[in-house]
Amino acid sequence: MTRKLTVRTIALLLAALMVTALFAAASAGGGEFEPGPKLGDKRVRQALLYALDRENFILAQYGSTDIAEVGLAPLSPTSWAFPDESELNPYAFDLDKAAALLDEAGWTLGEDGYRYNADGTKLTLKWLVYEDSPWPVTLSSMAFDSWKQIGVDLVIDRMDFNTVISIAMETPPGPERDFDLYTMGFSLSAEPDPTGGLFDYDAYTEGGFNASGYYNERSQELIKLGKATFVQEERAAIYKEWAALMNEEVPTSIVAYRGEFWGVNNRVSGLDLGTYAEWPDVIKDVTLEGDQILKLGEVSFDGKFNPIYADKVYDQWIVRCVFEAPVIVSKQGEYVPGIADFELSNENKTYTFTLKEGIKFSDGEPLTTEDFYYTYTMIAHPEYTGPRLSTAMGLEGYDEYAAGTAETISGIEIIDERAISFTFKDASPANIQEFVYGIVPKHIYDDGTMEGFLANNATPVGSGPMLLTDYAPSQFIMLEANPDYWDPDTAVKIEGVYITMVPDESKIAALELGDLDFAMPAANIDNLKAIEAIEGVHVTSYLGNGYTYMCFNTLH
Amino acid sequence: MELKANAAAPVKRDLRQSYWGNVVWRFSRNRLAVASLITLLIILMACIFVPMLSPYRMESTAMNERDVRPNAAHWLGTDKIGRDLFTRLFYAGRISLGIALVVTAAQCLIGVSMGSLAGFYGGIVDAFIMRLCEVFMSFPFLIVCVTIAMVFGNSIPVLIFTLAILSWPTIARIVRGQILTLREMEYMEACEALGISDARRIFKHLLPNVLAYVIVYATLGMASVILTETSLSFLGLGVSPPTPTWGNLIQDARDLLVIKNKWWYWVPPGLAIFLSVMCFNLVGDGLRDAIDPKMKR
Amino acid sequence: MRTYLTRRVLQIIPVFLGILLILFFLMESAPGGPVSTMMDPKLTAEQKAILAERLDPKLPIHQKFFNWIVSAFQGNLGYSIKHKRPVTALLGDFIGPTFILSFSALILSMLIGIPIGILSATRQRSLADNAATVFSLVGISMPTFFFGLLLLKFFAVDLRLFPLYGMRNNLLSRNATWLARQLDVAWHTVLPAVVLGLASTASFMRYTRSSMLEVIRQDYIRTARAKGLKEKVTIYRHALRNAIIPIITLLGFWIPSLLSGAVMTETIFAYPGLGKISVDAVNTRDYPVILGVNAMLSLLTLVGALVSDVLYAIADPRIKYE
Repeated sequence: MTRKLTVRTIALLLAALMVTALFAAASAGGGEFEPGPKLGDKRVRQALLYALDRENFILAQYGSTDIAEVGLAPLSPTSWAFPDESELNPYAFDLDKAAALLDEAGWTLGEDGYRYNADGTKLTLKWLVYEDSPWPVTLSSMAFDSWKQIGVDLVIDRMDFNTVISIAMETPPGPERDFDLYTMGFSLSAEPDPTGGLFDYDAYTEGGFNASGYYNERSQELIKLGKATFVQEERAAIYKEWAALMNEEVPTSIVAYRGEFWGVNNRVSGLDLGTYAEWPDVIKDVTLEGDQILKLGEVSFDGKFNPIYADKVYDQWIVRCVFEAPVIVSKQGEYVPGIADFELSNENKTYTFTLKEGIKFSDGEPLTTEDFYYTYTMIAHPEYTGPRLSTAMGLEGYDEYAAGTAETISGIEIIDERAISFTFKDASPANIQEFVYGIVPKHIYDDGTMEGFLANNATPVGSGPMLLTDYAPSQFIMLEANPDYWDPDTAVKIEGVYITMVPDESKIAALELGDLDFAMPAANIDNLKAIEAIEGVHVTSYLGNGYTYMCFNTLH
Repeated sequence: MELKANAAAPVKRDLRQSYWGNVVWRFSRNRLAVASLITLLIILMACIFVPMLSPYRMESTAMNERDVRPNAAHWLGTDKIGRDLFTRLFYAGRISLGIALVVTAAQCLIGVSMGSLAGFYGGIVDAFIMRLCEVFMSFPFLIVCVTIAMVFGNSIPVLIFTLAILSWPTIARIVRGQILTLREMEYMEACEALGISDARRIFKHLLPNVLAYVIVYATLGMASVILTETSLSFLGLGVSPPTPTWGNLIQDARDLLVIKNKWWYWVPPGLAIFLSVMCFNLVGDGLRDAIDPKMKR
Repeated sequence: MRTYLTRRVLQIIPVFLGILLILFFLMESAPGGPVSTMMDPKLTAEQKAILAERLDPKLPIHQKFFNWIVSAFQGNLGYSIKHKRPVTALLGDFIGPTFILSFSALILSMLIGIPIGILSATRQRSLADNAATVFSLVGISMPTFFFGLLLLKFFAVDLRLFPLYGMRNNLLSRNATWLARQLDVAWHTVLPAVVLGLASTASFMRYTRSSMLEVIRQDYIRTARAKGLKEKVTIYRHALRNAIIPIITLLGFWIPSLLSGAVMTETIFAYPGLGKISVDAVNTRDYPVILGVNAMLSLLTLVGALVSDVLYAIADPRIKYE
């Protein structure tokens, strides 16, 4: 009944953007800021959307609407919580409608071709655009032209990705925040809970993602309701209503959903990829004809093969092959037991995990709750600087532990060698997401220091179905089947996976030559057609779990 | 004085009776340099008058005319959102050449003042300024530029500032060297004996003699500033859309598919950069030969 | 000579400290920080501050500066925020490719530039001389990135003679012999080295030519000729040796400029060197790496200039050590 949230990156779409899952947000009350005269008006936001030709943007950027779809609502269309498409407004390109909406909102055309309101304020908007990825430049350049036609004066301000984040999200909230729009990519998960995300008013603080400053009472109610409801059908109804509301209000608009596709050699079977199933999640089902080594090509790895430090999606692939997590995500995007069964108690605040029997690390040592405990206390370690810090923060007793007034985290309790419980400060169906990270062997990783812990990054040891047997940075990674895998029934059937680091541009040629068995080239129509034309190779495609968005500063 | 002595060739025309007249006459005999100067003027004119030359606006998109090859309507084709690349090429030239001009002026200003201070006063002032030169010359140029852009944002003023602040030492060193030589000359000693003020000595007697060299290096400097500026825009710095620079236009070609199939995206701006840099180099060489036929590279 | 050397070495210290200080100020005023890129919506402002403090402790800038220098002297350049590895180890990984690339370019440009320079000096105003002059003009006027793209287009995309990107074909490295791997690296290095070497080939050519011309005009060459020595012997035994010395001494200047030129070339050809990690480091605000790379490159530049000066002073007895 519980579900999970994959933590992944749309790395190709937006190399630097790292988003982890959502949980309890920071402080802030409700609606203490006045909506601004420009983007605070729903009609202005809608007009801007009507005046942006997103279908042609997709054609210009990806070459085909097979690669990406026009965005509708802030959930993945593959999610169980996504509303019926017919109920949503696609804001199809329509300059007349846009102009009419602006007129209605009191922005009238001046003699210079730009619009002014009753106060004589010119409709000038400042868009923060970063260069790290090409699409924001394309989109804003299109908007510059088409918005001008409806009398909007767009100023594009170019900067790097980090600066956009620092201006839009890290300066103190309020009308002083110096931007009107910015665009970025956002990665989602199976968990539809928007807490802390782009639409949660409570996240309109320094800590959260919401930069629009938009407040809507019903929306906040629905978000709270969603977190208090533990039955999927009821939650679905809540989120459907919420998504439709956001589609109507567009405080932040979803620009596009992007697809991902892989070229796969026909000698590979069982590689059943999907929105919630990347190759490490299905590697156990893979069988090969001929050579028993599966050959994968990918651009680059950071080399942080550590469950609590890996932030790049490619590093996480390796982690998921070598380590095993208590909880995993099913192909349908639901939380299911991984190496532990779990149950909820104590008013839904406490998860009690029972490790499956006979789990062993690849060196033969048994995996116990000591290792489980160790992994999660490393996240609370005072020198920890990885992307999982918030996992520990939600736990009861974390604050005392961090402040140094407690020796241990009271929320984590080892019951016996196979049972351990975690108690959270607040109940939420989203809490389960914290347990999808692999468990490291204490006897290998623990030398009392963080540096010693990190020293294992390039030579990871876990209980997973594969072993990392060879790694040459910026060259290759060799993963071999774990011969002593604790559960022989579900061991991988192939000998190993050989990952070579190849530039995107070489992937297709390598697929054609048979040097690679599968690879994901840059998502555009030319690449898709090129793969389809190769004999003996087929395409596996699915909708990526995320979207690109355009945020309006509604206090302006 | 020394320069004039060198220029004392047989006098044939009125033009050649003054020092600068002589320079112009000698320059005009260098056909390559004159041709380059004319080419530069044509490029400059095209950039200035591009709104009259082209029926398209630099920022107008046309979704039904995306990725069009060069044809009669679009002489250099269109980009992926249907903007006319001929128009954009010359608008970009405005920015690229304009930036180069301002940067060169700025680097001359800083360079000449620093160089003359160092050369004239010598001692601690000289040592300090020369160390400062070394500091700026030893920066890993491109990386520092990328870092500065990250700190101060991408805009034309930042770009100009970065380029100027990192490139003045060359001119400063040349001016300093010249002034050191001139200072030792007898007439300067005479000035000192006559009790002429420092400022007067610098501005009236030293700088005019250095000017010729500064002009030569400024012309060559234009060439190198254009190269650096376009390299930086190629790396992703530069100005905000929709206004492009030449480097920004080529930046689109970092995508392999563009290199492969869409030459009209990146070959024209590349040639424009190459041509203007080469012309500035030739004009600079021509000027050098005209100003002082004995000056060596 | 010894005092000259000492003074020259001592001069490096304030210059290097000045560079470091400016770099520190730049880092200090950069917007955003390493925490921004982690983008964890669950972190409150307070917790973000804690994380930022762990990654990049807030100290007065002079304190930071001092700490960095002290630990740099102990061979510790800090820990990369992004890679979670010591910066020195990271530099170790990436400096190799940059050196391979720079030295291939240097050797290439010497092999081409010096002979052509000699040729055009000995046959002044000949067709070869004119061709060489045109070539050197093109060499210094061609934007590196445009030349790189042209080569990519013709030799890698159209003719498929050379690989597109990277330093090695990782696909062959599992079973390949040592020799095959080295050849593969060489094959991948050809185009980037040509691009990187173009400008320096042009300047080698110019320097050799003018240096040769100067030597040929000297009295002793005239004497040699007057003695009736064969022209070849005169040129190659007497003139060349003296003409080459100033060029060799200039190597110190070329090496750092090649290293920083490598940044651009590496970007075009996705060559995994210092250029790549430094640009990455700027984008992720990985301050220890930015500092480490920049400090190392500037030091190399300074030392290169020093070596050049000293060599030149040794080679040319006319130089007085003030």
